[in-house]
Amino acid sequence: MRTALRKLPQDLREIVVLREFEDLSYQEISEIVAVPVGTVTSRLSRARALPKTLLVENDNRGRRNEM
Amino acid sequence: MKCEEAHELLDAFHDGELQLASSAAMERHLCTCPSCSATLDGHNTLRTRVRRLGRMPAPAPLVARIGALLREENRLPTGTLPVRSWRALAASHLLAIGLGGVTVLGFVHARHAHTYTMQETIDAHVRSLLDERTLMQIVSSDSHNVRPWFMGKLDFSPAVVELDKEGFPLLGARVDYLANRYVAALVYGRRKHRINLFVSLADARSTAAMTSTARHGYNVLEWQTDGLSYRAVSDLDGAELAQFSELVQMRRGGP
Repeated sequence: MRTALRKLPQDLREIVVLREFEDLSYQEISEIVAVPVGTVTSRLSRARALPKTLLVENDNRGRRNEM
Repeated sequence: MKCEEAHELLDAFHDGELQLASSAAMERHLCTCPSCSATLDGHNTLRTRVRRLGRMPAPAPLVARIGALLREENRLPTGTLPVRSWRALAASHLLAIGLGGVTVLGFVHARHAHTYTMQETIDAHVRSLLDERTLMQIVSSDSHNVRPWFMGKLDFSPAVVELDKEGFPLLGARVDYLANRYVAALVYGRRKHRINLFVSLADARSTAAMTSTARHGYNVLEWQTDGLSYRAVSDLDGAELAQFSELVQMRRGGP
């Protein structure tokens, strides 16, 4: 998971850090990162989609190794 | 609500950012849509796994931006308030500390405690306005009457400044109970608006920097001087309340 997060593009990773680790609201993230709230929302959505794909890949790989 | 709309709002719902009506509509949709419900489950799983990591270093540009924000804040003259909310400002401090390798847990708790105190401050202000009798226990525009009135009621002596000439007449005062302690509440007027200036002993953790909070149509400015904490709250606009706070600080010798 840590690797998956590190692989995120920088603009997405900073949003994840502020949202998931610092628990900031969209408005607060928008103020710190200096982008509109709409951009925060879309970046967060993209950021969440990428690790999910990696997780599924990892889980599938894990299952194959177990077989 | 249709799936298309639900997908657009799912992240905001997951993060508790939706308005009540949209949130209720989303909940109704999730009850009937296995697909969107599964997506939300995926979000929850991801969050659990991400947060299990503990912490993660912030990207270098974010660190640089936070550093710039802090430097910018430090350059602001007294009375010139940053547009950013105190929470965002606190967060920038938080990250700067966190990136230095120090745990941020205490700061997060302090941040939540601050939010709670600000809400209590606004509640106390609103409560005081319900009745003129609850607003002031002593009615006087003379600081030499008001300040001695606190003797024996509080374990500190709040300085009371008169600002009639500046358009903020002193109206009176009371003792209030706020954030688990007795505080002095000085009441000032501005046209038909009322300003409560709450004065209490400052916490050891308090900083001198002024912070501003706006919530539910009320503005709160907070600062510390000489071991005392000041919170000015009113429905006045931010600029006028900032002017008031600056005048109080000048007379008192603020930060």
